[in-house]
Amino acid sequence: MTAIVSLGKIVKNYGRGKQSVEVLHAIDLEIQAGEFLALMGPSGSGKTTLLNLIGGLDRPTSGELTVCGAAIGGLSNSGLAAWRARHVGFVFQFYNLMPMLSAERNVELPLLLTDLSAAHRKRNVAAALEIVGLSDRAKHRPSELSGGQQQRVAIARALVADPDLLVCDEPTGDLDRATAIEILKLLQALNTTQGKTIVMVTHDPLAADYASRRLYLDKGLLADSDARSAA
Amino acid sequence: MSAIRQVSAVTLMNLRSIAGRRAASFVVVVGMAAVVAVVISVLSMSSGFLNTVGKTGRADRAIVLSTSAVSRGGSSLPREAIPLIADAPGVIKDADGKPLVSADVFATMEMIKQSDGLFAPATVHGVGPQAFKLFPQIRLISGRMFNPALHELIVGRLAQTQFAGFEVGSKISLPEGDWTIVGNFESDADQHESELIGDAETIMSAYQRTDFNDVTVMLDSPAAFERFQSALASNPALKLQVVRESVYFAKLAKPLTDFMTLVAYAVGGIMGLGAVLGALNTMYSAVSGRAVEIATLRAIGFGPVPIVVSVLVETLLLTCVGAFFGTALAWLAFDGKPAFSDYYIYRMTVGPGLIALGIAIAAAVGLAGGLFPAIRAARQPVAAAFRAN
Amino acid sequence: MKYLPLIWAGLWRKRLRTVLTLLSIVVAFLLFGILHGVDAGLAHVMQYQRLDRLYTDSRHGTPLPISYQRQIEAIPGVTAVTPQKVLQASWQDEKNQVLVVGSDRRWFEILWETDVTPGQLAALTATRTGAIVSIACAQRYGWKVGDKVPLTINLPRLDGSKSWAFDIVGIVTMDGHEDDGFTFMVANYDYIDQARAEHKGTVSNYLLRIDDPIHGNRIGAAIDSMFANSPDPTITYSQRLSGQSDLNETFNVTFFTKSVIGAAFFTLLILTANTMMQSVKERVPEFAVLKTVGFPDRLLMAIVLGESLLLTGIGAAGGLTLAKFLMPLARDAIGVAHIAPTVFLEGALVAATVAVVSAWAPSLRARQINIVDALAGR
Repeated sequence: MTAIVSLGKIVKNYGRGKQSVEVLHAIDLEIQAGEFLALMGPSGSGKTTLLNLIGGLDRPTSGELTVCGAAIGGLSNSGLAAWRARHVGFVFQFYNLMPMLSAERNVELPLLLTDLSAAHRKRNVAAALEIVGLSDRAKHRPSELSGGQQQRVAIARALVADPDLLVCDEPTGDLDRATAIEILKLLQALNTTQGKTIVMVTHDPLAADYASRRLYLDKGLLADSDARSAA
Repeated sequence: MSAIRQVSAVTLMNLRSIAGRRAASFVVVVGMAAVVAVVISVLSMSSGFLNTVGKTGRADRAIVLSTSAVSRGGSSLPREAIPLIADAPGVIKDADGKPLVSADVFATMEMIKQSDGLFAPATVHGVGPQAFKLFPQIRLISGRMFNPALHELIVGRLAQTQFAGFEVGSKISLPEGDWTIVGNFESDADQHESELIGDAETIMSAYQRTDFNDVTVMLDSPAAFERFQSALASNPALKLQVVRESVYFAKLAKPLTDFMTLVAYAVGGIMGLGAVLGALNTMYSAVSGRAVEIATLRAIGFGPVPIVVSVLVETLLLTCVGAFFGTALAWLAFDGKPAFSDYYIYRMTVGPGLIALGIAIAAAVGLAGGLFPAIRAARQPVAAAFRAN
Repeated sequence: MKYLPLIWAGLWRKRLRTVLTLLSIVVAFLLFGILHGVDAGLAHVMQYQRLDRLYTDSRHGTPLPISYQRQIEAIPGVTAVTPQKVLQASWQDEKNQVLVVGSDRRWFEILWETDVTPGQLAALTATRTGAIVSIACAQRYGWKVGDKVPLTINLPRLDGSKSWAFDIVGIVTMDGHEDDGFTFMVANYDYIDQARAEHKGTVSNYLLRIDDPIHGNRIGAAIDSMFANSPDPTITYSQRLSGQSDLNETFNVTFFTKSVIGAAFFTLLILTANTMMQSVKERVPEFAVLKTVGFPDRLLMAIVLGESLLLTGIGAAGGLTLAKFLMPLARDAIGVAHIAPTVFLEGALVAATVAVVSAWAPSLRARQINIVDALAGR
């Protein structure tokens, strides 16, 4: 299988000149399609930075970065935006839903960038909400939903445009144990039944259990790669 | 800490942070300046008009008109009536024992305005020989008094600002040839200054008129008016009406000043509403932006009153600054400038009354725009402010 | 359009602020509608007056001789001349004012567009004491065709009395003008001149119609130079100049309007721009999320512009509609009762300009958002 994500000697600096800080030091990494990868490490290790690079939210200072078949390290801002729209879905710790839009409208957002008709969009949104089990809450606003439900909406939004890659930054960080488990089960199901490649940053060992592979990042360097199939 | 110290402490804290709200605060200042400038400018016209036209009238002078006339221009008194009016009781006599009256005639003449080169009517006022004792405020500035037997006139200062060709020495075209302007005069900036004054008899013959328009008399005292009026009323052959000069001019000024006041308050009212909305917007924003600081103060123990007062003070400060600029703008642009309405020339005035009005408007808008935000600031639950952050 | 729900949601993020800003916009456009409506209304009144009509007035305010009429008629380009002797009259009570114009049937052909019929004109000519009155007279004083009304005029008759009787032969309305409530009548100059005691053979002024408005200046100059050296010189001008309306005599309406509107919209611009900017700054995380989803910068700028246009558009529509309904209330004070359609068009243009200018800086701010920093809360 070809790697869906390929990093070669990726370096990322923040700041300029004398105040420049190197956060990632010449990282090499390959992620295969269909993997469920957990990126772990203490705070300040650079895992979110790495995630941002993989998701096309930021560009590396140097090195080769190929994701979903495109060398995204050299793309312009608008190029990256277009690439993200087609290939990646994001899930954040604090859900990041639009507070004034209903669940449906939130999920619809990525589809607004396509040429699909309104009816077609409606169908896809309904399907995505079905997958995450929230069809009956379609018209509710985020303020009317629990944390777990909001995260499901966020996952539906990440899915609706059928991306190749799901990028998740601490998706269970703000949820209680029981809800966290529900979300993780959902992600696992998406990975095994729908074949979505998932890269998840987490500090929670429980969450890592649901992944098929774990990677440790410390002070900008990857530690041993540890491939394990989910229990 | 005493109440006053609390208030000033909070207020100073608020004001120091204004730099962060520059644009929003600017909105309040500019909005207020606009409202005040407009209201005061319009009212400067009516205030000036009142000052000019209204001032012309005195309680101890009376005007005699024909019965159904609404104004001097529409009145017509035959020659025979003049001595009867002059000899009526209540009329003051001069040192020679002659009654102080002036039989007047009015005419208009189309002259070219300086401002736009279009024609507008100028007033020609023919007066009797006693006129200058009757109107002692009329004083020559330059040139000389007209010779009653000749085609000569003197021109008022305000009329000179309005029309072209009214310099001393110039000739203007009236019936029966050219008339010369031999002098100009001032008259305490009252209505006479918008006129050309000449001898009534000479002007009447030039315009082929046989009747006078009105008679102005000086009374012994303001109280003599009733005597004078009833004496003339008791003679049914004379179809006259007698009115105090002050009352006459006040009535004359009324339509214009009423109209100006209406415009000022209608337009000013709408703009004022806009200013209040702008102030509300700004102050609500300001208050929510400082929710944490205010909550901290209250947690420390500051009472709600200093909080409310400090917000009001800030709002009032903004509106007063705006009102200051608006008043200054109106004053610079309009105070003392001549204006021309309905045959009258006058100077617009921005006086203490209008300045006080500007302050009042600032206060009203400041209160209306600041009160609710102030109350909200004081009422927001302390814990909620910390949590929301 | 598909982005509308998103744009709408963005506007109502902070309800109170949006409502206050919206109301401010409504107020500004209310002011715009009324003031501009008055100004345009007056200009319209002036334009409505036809340039092929001239007035010949007395330069000195003295009465003009009736003999001028023949001489004016002889000037090439003059197609019709009618004399006017204008008198203030009252009916029964001094308060019931009527303006009496002593003229002839040509008055109706030269001056107002009225709905006068040939029958009424014939009756006016046939009846010496006949008069055609405005509809306001009928409404206010209850006059009917066939009535004989005695008016009091400050113009003594040969017999010394000031009571003049007229027979009403027609009632007319002026079209193109809503009823101004103006009580006036047109009677026969000959009747008035024959019966009056003084100043016989004189008129207040003349009305003329000329063949082509272009010749107005030339004809006016010709008339005035003809009488320049006589005892009663004239000045002749088109109605446009004289109709520099009564309101403008009192008050420079255009200057006032432009100043007030200018000040109001300057303030509004700052207010709206400030509101938009604050709104964008507060929603940086939300815009960042849209960027992560893949929304390009151009689209974000367009969304900000869309919010601004929607806000300004709704406010402008509200304010102008309110102005349209309030205008008739001002009719008595100002004499203008309707807002011309051009005012609405201009209002729309102004609204668009305010929206675009207000959205300028905020949309740039939205474009500047760095996704990584915004998501990290910086």
